[in-house]
Amino acid sequence: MPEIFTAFTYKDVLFLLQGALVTIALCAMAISCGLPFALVIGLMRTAKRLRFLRWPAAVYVEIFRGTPLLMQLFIAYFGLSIIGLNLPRFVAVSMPLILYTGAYMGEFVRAGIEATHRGQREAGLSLGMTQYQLLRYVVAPTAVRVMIPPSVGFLVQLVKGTSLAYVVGYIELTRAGYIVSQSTYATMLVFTLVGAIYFGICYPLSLASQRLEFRLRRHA
Amino acid sequence: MLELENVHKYFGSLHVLKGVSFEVRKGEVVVVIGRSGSGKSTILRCINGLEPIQQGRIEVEGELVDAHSKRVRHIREKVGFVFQSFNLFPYYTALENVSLALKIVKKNPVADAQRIAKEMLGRVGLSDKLDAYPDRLSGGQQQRVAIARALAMSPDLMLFDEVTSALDPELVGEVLKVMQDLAEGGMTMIVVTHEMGFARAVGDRVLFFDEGEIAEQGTPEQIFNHPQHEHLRTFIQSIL
Repeated sequence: MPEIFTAFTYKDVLFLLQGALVTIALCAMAISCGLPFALVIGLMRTAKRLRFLRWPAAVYVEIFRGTPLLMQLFIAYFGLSIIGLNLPRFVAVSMPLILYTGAYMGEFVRAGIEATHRGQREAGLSLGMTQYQLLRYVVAPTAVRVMIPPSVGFLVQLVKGTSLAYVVGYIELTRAGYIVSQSTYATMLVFTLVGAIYFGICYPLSLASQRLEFRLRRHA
Repeated sequence: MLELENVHKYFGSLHVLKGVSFEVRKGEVVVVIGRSGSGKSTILRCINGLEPIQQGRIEVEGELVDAHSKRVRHIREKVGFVFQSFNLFPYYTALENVSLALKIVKKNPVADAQRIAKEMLGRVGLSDKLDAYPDRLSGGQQQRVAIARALAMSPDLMLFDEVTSALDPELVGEVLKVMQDLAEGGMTMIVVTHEMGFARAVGDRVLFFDEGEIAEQGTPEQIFNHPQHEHLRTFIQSIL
């Protein structure tokens, strides 16, 4: 082996795990900010009295679902700095992830809200409920159940999607793997490990959602 | 107690109620019959403000029903509605279905809401099904929970919209029995139904709806034994 390469050691593993933490942080950011945002989008998409709110939400959803996440990352990362907006790296990478999450999950929220049978809404109304009470006590229980499977699917996609941040040089798990493989030349080993870490993040998510679905479905 | 005057309702260009007027006095049981599409279900929905009307006036205990106003909630608290398709909340037990609105609309303390809900489920003969979810109940049991849910709000008027039409024939009786008990207890009721036996036995007055109008009204005896309107005659022949 040539001199410039160093042996693969536990330090490299630690470096990869550090990258994994960044990946998790990006996901946590995307979900914690994206979900409330998705809720707003979902409510706008189903607005009845304030119907005019529907179209801006629809436009937003179509744009962020209809363009590659990679392109959104490029724009947030390079594009905004060109017009003089210099965001901290973490923010520049998180922002498109948040907006992307808002667009997808917003559609799940909409589907969840629309899943409640009209008759149940009318039953709630006939008992004197307000629109808010209807949403909270009649629509939400159904909506949450409808939203879980696609949301987990999306979350798993998102974990893997954060790897795109590597193209802008942001050191998350994939980038960390790339760096380690460059210096150690242990490409197979490194990327197998990287893959295993991704799997280690995603699989428990799927398991947890299966459990939750099962628990909630008992009374469908 | 209830007054309708010249009520007109359109669905787009479809004129479904063409100037309906009638009154219901306290304690009266009014049965509404007619073909599907005659407007008989729509009139119930209008009384509860689930459908806005385009012309005319509906008053419940002197209070104007305006589907677009927030005040309509106040009227809905006084008017119970039972639907053809039960419309129970699927993720709540029978007890929770009945107690939910007591808690959040009537703002009863939880213990009181539970007590009232149990009492109401007892009245409809479902004391042994308190913790059952709707999908574990037969259609007749679901409909009785729905009646208990409406009764729990202690309404002054109950509206029944073809409540036995979606039931298997052998389950119709248990629901009609509950309604008959209610009527005998002095509840003011408007019952849209195809159950002519019930109409005869329980109804104080029968309204025959035809093409969005009340074509004929009278006591069950008059309507069933001496129908005047030609459409009423053919309608009665067709269902007997």
